[in-house]
Amino acid sequence: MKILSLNVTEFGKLHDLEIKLSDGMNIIEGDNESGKSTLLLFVMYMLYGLPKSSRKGAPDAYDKQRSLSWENKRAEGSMTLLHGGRRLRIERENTRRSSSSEARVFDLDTGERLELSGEVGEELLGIGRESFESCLWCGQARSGVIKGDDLSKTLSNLSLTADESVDGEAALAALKNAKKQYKYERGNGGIIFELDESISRLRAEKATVDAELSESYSSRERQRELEEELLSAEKRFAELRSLKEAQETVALLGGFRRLDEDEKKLRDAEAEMASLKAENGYTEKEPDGNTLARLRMLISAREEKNEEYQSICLERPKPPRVDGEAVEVAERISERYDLSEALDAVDKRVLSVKKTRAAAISLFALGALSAAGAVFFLPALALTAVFAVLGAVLLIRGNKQKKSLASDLSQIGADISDYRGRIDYCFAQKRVLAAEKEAAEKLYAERKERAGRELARVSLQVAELVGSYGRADESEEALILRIERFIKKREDVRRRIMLVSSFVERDRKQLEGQDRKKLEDSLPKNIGYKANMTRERLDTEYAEAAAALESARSSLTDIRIKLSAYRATEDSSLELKRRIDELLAERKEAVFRYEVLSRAYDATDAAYKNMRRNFAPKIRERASENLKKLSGGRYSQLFMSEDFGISIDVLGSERELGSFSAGATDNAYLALRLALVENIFDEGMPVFMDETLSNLDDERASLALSLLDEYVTAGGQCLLLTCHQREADLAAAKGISLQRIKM
Amino acid sequence: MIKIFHTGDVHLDSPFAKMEYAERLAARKYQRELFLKLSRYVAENKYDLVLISGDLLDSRNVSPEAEECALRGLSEMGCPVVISPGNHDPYLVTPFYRKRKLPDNVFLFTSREVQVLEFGELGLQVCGYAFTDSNILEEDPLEGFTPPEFDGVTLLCAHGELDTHGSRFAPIRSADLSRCGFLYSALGHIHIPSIVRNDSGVVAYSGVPDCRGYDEEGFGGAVSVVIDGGEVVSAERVIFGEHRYVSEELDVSALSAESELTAAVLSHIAEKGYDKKTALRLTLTGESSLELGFSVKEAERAASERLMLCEIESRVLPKTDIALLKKDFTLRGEIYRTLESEIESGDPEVKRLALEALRAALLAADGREIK
Repeated sequence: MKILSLNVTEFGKLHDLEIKLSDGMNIIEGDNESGKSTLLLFVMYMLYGLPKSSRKGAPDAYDKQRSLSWENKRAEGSMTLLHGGRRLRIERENTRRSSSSEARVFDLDTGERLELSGEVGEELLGIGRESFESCLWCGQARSGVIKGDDLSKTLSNLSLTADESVDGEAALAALKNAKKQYKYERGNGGIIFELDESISRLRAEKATVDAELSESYSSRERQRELEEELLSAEKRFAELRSLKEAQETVALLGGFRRLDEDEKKLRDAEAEMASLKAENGYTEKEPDGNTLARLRMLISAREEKNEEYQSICLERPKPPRVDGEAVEVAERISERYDLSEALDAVDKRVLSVKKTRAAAISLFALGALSAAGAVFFLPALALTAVFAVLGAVLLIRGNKQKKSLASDLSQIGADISDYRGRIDYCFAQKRVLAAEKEAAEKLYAERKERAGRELARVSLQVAELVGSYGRADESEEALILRIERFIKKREDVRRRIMLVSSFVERDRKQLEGQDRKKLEDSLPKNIGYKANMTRERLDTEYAEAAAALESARSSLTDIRIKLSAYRATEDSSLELKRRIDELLAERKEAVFRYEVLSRAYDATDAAYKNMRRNFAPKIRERASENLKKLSGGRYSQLFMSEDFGISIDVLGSERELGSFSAGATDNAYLALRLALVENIFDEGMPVFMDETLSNLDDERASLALSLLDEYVTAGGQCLLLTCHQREADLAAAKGISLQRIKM
Repeated sequence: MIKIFHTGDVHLDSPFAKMEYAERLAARKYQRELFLKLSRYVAENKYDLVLISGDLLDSRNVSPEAEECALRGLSEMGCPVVISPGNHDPYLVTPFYRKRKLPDNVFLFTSREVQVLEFGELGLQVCGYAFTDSNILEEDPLEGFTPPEFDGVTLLCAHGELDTHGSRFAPIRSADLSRCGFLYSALGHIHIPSIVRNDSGVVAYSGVPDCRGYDEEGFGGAVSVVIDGGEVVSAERVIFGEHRYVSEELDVSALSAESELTAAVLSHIAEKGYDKKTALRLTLTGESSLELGFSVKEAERAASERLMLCEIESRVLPKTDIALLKKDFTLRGEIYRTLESEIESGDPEVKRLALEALRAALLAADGREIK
C-alpha cells in the first residue's frame, strides 16, 4: 500500500491542507506543534476512524480530542492511496460533534464506490488499528519516551510479540494471577477452593440437619401413632365420660326415684299419722308424753290426794301437845269459872288464907305483943291467949284454908305459890289446847279442805285430761294405755316422718337445679351401658382413661413441639440446599471462568512460545542486520536473555540495552520496527516515523536514512516527520530520492 | 354422559428449594389452596369421577397441613376419586395412604399389579396400578395385562412414562394402551400436558395444576373429559394455575455498557408483562465487545424484585473481529490461531470456552483488566 495524497478539510488543528506524497521516501518537516503528528493521526482516522478508547501503551498522540477540529469538533478529509494495484480514495467525515464517522471508499480508476463491511484499514490492509499502530507507526523517539527497563521491555515485546505494547510475560502473569484467584496451582486457595470449602461445610451442616430430619420422619410416624392413640384415648375417655355422666344421670334419676319413694313414705307416714290421730280422735289435739305423764301424774296425784284426803279424813287431828293435866284442870275450873274468875277465886282463897294467916299472924303478933305486952300487961296475956287462940284458930283456919287451897291447887297441880301461874298455865294450856285444837281442827279442816280441794282439782285435771283425750266409757287405765300406744306409735311415725323428711330434704337438695325430664332425655340410649359396672370400677376406669388421655395429649404435644422444631429444621435443610445450589452455580461459573483462564493461559503460552520460537529469532536476525547497518557495523547482534531482556553485541561482548546511549537504543528500536514490517508484510507498506531520528547524531541519522531508503527501494514507503531540516539534508547528501514537504 | 376430571402431579408440599423461607411457605400454602380450588371446581361442575394419576403428595412425609388439605379436598369433591400412587408418594411407604382414614369416596390402587375398580353405576371400570414400596418401577405393569370383560367403558389411571424404553418409572407403552382398549388413559409423571388420540381413545398427561419449575412451561391445569355413547366426546385442558416458569433468551449485542444490562432485563420483563407470578430463566445471548463482561447479579437482583424468581445466565460471546485476528501478526493473532480450531468447533460449549479464553487472553495481552 502506498499513500499518495492527504487532503485534510478539517482535522484537529489542520484545515484545508493538501499533501501529495511520493511512493517512496517522504520527509515532512515542520516546527513543533505544526501538526505533523496530527497528520499521522489523520492517516489513522482515514483508515480506522476515531478510536473509541485508548489501549494501554498507545502513543498519546492517539487522542480523539486532538483529532476533532478545535472549532467545530469536525474531522473531515480524504486520502488517496494505492493498494493492490488500485487507486483508491477514502473520504471520511464524523457525525457532527461526535467521534463516530462515516467512510466512503472510491476506486478512482472505475469510479465505483467500494462497499466495505468493516473499517477501511481492516478491509484494505487486513490489519486492525492496534496492529497498524504497533507495526507501522513508529512514534516519537522511543528513548525519549520510554527509559531504562521499560525500553528494554518495549524492544523485547517487539521482538517477541510483534507489538511493543504487548508484553507476553505480563499477559501470562496476568492470566496466571487471574487463574490463581480461582484456584491455586499448588496448595489450597482461590475462589473455587473457598466455594468448595463453603459447599462442604454447608453439605456437612445439611447432613446434620437431614439426619435430624430423618429423625423427624420417625417422629412424624410417632406423631401419627400418638394421634391414633389420642383418638383412641379420647374415644375411650368420651365413652367413659358418657358412661360416667350417664351414671351420674342415672344416679340423679335414682335420686329422683328415691325422692319419689321418700315422699311417698312421707306421705304414708303422714297419712298414718293422720289416721292414728283420727283413730284416736286426736285430730285437733293430741296427747303427748307430757300429757301422759301428766295424766299419770295427775292420776297418781289424785290417788295420792285421795289417800291423803282419806287419810286426813280418817286422821283426826291429834290433840295438841299441851299439858293435858293442865287443860283438864282448866276445864274443870272452866266448868265453873273462867280464868279470871278462877284466878279471882283462888286469889280470894289465897287472900283469905293470907288474911287468915295474916290475921293469925297478926293475932299472933298481937298475941306476941300481947305477950310482950303481957309482960307489962298480963291481962294482955289473956289477949295474948285470945290472940293466940284466935290466931291459932285463924291459923288453923288459915292452914286449913291453905291446905284446902293447896289441895285444891294440888289438884290442879299448883300450889299457893304458883297457882296463878298454874292456873294461867292451865288456862293457857287450855287455851293453847283450845287454840291448838281449834287450830288443829282448823288445820285439819283446812287440810281436809285443801286435800279435798286438791283432790278435786287433781280429779278435775284428770277428768279434764281424760275428757280431752279419753273416750266415753274408757277407763283411765285404758286411756293411759291407749295414749301410751298412741304416743309410741306417733313417735314411731313421727320419727319415720322426720327421717323420711330429712331424706326428702336431702334428696331435694341434691337434686336442686336438676331437671328430671332433661336428665331422662339426656340419658344416652346406646351408650353400651354396662349395667353391672359398679361405680367404683367406673370411677377407676374413668380416672385411668383420663390419665391415659392426658398422657397421650402430653406426648402428642411434646412430639408436635419437637416436630415444629423439625419444621424449622426442614426449612433449614431447604435453605441450606438453596445456598448449596447457589454456591454450586457460583462454582460452576467459577470453574468455567477458571477453565477459560486456563485455556487462555495455555493458548497465550503456546502462542508466545511459538512466537519466541519462530517469530522472534527471525525478527532478531533481521533486526540484527538492520542494527549492524544502523550502527555502521559497530553493533552486530541483538540478543535476548533468558529473562527476555535485550542486549547488544559490541565487538564480541554482550551488553544490556540499558547501558547504551539513547541513540543506540533508538537504533535498536528502529532496527526492530523495520525488521517487523519487513517480516510481516508481503507488500510494501508505509511506515510512519515521527521524530524517530531526532535523537541520532548525523552519522547514525544518515545510516538510518540509508536503511530507510533500502526499505523504500524494496517497495515500502516512508513518511518521516521531523522538526529538523537535517534529515532531508542528510538524505539529499546521500543521494536518497525523497519528497520534501514543509508543514 | 360421564364427566371425568383428570389431574395428577399435584405434589402437595413441594420443597420450593430455590425460594426464600417466607416465599416457600406462601408457595406451599398456594398449592394447598389450589388443590381445594380444584376440589370445589369438581363439586360445582358435578363431575362423575375424578382420576388422580399419581404424585398427589410431593414426598412420603408431608406436613399435617398438606394431609388435612388433601383429605378435605378429596372429601369435598363429592364424587368417586381414584388415585394411582406415584413415585413421589408410593402406596406402602406413604403414611397418608396407610395411616390416615381416607374419605369414603376415595379409591386407591395398592399394587404394582394392575387392579380394576368397577363403578357400575357410572358404567365404567378403571384400571390402574401403584408405585408401592419405592419410587422405582422398572417393569411395565401393563405388559401381559388384559382388562376384564365389562359392559361399559374401560379407563386407565396410571403414573408412568409413556414409550420411554428403559425408564425406571413404569415404562408403559402406547401399544398396550390401544391393546387394552382404554377409552381414556389418564396418565401422570410427565409434567408437560398433552392430549393425544390413539386407536382406542385418548391418552392424556394432565400436567401439573400449577407450575413449579422451568420444565413446566405455561400455566398449570387439569383435563376435563366428557364420555358419551362409548366415546370421548371432549378432552380439554382447564387452566387453574397462576404461576408460570419461562425460559427465554435475550440478545444483548446492542448493549454497549454493563450498566445497560439491568435496564434491558427490566424492559424485557415489562414488555412481556411478567409479574410476581412468573419465574424467569433468562439466558443472555449475542456478542459483546472484549471490554464488556456482563455481571448478571445486579440484573438478577433487580428482576427478582418484580418476579417470583429470576435466574440469569450469560452466554454472551465476546465480539471479536475474527477476520482481523486471523491476519494479526502479533501475539494477539497467534493466540487466536492457537484457539482457532476450537472457536470454529461445532460444539457450542467448546466454542464458547474458546471465545471466552480468547477474550481473556486478548485482554491480558492488551494489559487490560481480565473480565
